[in-house]
Amino acid sequence: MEDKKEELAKTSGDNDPRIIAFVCNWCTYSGADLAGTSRMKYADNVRVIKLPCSGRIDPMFIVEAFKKGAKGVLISGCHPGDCHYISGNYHSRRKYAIFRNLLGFLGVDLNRVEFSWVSASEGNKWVHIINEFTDKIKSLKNGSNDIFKK
Amino acid sequence: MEEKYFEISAEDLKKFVDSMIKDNFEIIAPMDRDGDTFYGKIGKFDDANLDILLPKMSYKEYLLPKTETLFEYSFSGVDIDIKDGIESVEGKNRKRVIFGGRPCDAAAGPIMEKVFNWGYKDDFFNERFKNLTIVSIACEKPDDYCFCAEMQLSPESSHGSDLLLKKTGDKYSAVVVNDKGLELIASYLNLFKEIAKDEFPPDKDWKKIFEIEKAKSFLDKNFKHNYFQDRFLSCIGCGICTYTCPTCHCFDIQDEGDMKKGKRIRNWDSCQFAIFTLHTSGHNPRNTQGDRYRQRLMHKFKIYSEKFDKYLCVGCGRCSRNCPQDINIKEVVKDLTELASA
Amino acid sequence: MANIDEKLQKIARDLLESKEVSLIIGYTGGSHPQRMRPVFITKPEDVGRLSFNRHSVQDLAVFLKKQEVKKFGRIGIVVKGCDEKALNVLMQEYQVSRENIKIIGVECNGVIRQDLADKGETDLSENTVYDKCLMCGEHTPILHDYLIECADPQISMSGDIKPFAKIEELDSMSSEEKDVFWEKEFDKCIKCYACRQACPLCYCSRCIVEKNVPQWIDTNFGKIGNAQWNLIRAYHLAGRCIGCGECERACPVNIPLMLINGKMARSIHDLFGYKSGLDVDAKPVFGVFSESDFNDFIK
Repeated sequence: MEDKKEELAKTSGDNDPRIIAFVCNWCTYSGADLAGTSRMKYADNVRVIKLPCSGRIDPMFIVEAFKKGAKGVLISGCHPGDCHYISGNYHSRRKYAIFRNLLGFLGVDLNRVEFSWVSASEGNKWVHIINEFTDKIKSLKNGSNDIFKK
Repeated sequence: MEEKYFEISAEDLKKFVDSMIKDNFEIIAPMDRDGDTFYGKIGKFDDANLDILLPKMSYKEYLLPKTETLFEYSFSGVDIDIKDGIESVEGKNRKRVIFGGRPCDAAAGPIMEKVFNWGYKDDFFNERFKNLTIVSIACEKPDDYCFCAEMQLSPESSHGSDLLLKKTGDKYSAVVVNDKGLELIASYLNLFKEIAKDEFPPDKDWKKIFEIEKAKSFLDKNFKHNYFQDRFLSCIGCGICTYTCPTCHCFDIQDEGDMKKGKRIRNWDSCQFAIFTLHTSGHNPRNTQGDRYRQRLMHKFKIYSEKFDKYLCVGCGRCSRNCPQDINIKEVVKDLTELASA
Repeated sequence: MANIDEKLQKIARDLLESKEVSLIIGYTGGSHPQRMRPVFITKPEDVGRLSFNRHSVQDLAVFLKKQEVKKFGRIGIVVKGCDEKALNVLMQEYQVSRENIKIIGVECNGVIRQDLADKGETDLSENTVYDKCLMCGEHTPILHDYLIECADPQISMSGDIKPFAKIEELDSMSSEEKDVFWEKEFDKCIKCYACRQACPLCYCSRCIVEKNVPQWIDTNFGKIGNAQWNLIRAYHLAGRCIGCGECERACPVNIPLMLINGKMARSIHDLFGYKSGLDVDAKPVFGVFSESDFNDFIK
């Protein structure tokens, strides 16, 4: 397991930055799945980790991903109002609004942390977000300011 | 070796330190940092502040680092590569000198040395200690928290130092205690002027406010005494006393890593934490903060002195100065001596 | 000053004699005249030890999380305005029940920074008090069963000193500069976790750093482990921290923890209009949500 985790997060170089996406099972994962089954092409830098709900995505996951060498982290769940568990994404939104500020205050480049709502039918949006995020990460200086980098 | 006595002017002392730095010695000295004080690496003599009575933290981390790698491993899929941590112990290639520490901090060295050579010989500690030379400066004015005299030392004690300096006017008198000290000044002898023993300023008579043996006699008989539970209700278990203490030496061994690579490390730990003695079953033999503080007192003033000579305390008073709830160990020990005679 | 002490002692004696409480937590004189320390009074004849002055820096609410103290059942506690906010959060989170606590509130116009007091400072002025005192909005404890008025005059503010000015300075820095600043600060951390122990609101029976399956936070004193610890501590207190500043005061290596706590409090107030510790009946900010919450950062 550990072995795989390391592999997943590792980035080989500047031009191939690894991005870890923590997504919810019900919306974003299905959206990404739709993108796949529709044979849409998008940057292959992203590795998806599926969780039951965006409310399940602990802020420590972000830190852990950076620690393991990820250059960008995406957190994505259901649109407000669409949560399978009714309110998980609302809680998560409140939590991350603050956690993001904290990361920024401690010197993490917020360009490396992205949040999105992607529904099961938004394969296009998923593709767009991943491509855009990958380009953004590529444009950043390698390893610039991240207190959790090794 | 017989002790040797020297004299050095303040100006030459500066030269002495600066030339040691030039000669690639690593010099650790008391320094200021954002309104705070600590022992740190100096780049030149003027970086040090010798007026500081006692830096907030002791220089224990140069004897027992906060984190130390015992060994590292990596697994390539076929071969396992193990690297012994002893190869990278600091001070091995570059001699370290602690300059301007106080006699209490210096006395902590031999105390710790006994623990780390009791039965099992701790190579990490020994290697580091062997490469460390300690140049102390006697205190002129100990403060109200200090109680080194009560702990069988004194503000002018040379115990544990390799070289002890005493300020007299604008010059320093120096006593070279052992070969290590002599070796250190050997290349800079032109800065020092040898003097006779009777020219060296004699120690003053330092008053004691309690007899430590009495405290021990109380601890011997009163493991279960209400004093501990009542007095230490105000202890919040932050462990600052143990972390800033020059002699507290408990550590915790942890493994960090995964299948591919990792290391075994030892970190500072503290008997003031509830988790320190917590059993897997959930039972905790030292269940209250009173029990834990008693442990600290017992270890310092009873258990250690029964195993070795002396006490596991040098009377620096850091635990009192830094305690956020103002638990003053000098008062506590005084209480114990009074309870013993009551 | 003597007046305050007498009033305190009378209240405490009455409470103990009538058996309304079995323990009074208060302040008494410490190692030197500029230091106070907590005292635990269980017998009416001991109340003479109780005292309060501008050196009473400790937040006594921290003791309510101790098992040994909880055993006393009904407890009387001496609190300043800021400390009382900690009680409110503890009640809000069902850690303490109102009927078990007798709150002896003391009006306070600021306490002198302990590092200065240790050097002999006795003047109460904008240069000698903690930043929290300069921006204090609760000189009088919000909830109290007894109230003792203040003996100290209000601090006159010249306006030259801005509390927590460093937060704005950091906000205006680039992330590289902030990274440099915090790396230097966290490098000092010795992981004694005194910040956690001194905090009245860090009451978990098992802290995240003491859990090792999985080990979220490195146990070593390295750069990452230190940053992780300081990050998670601040995050767990976001929306709860009442700004008593005990973590920063306890820190043996002077890490400016109140900058992080202060920043979190500001963010939470800006985004959700919530201030912790002011209302016992309010729902904790992370226990609730609104459909119209801040959404700008999410694509």
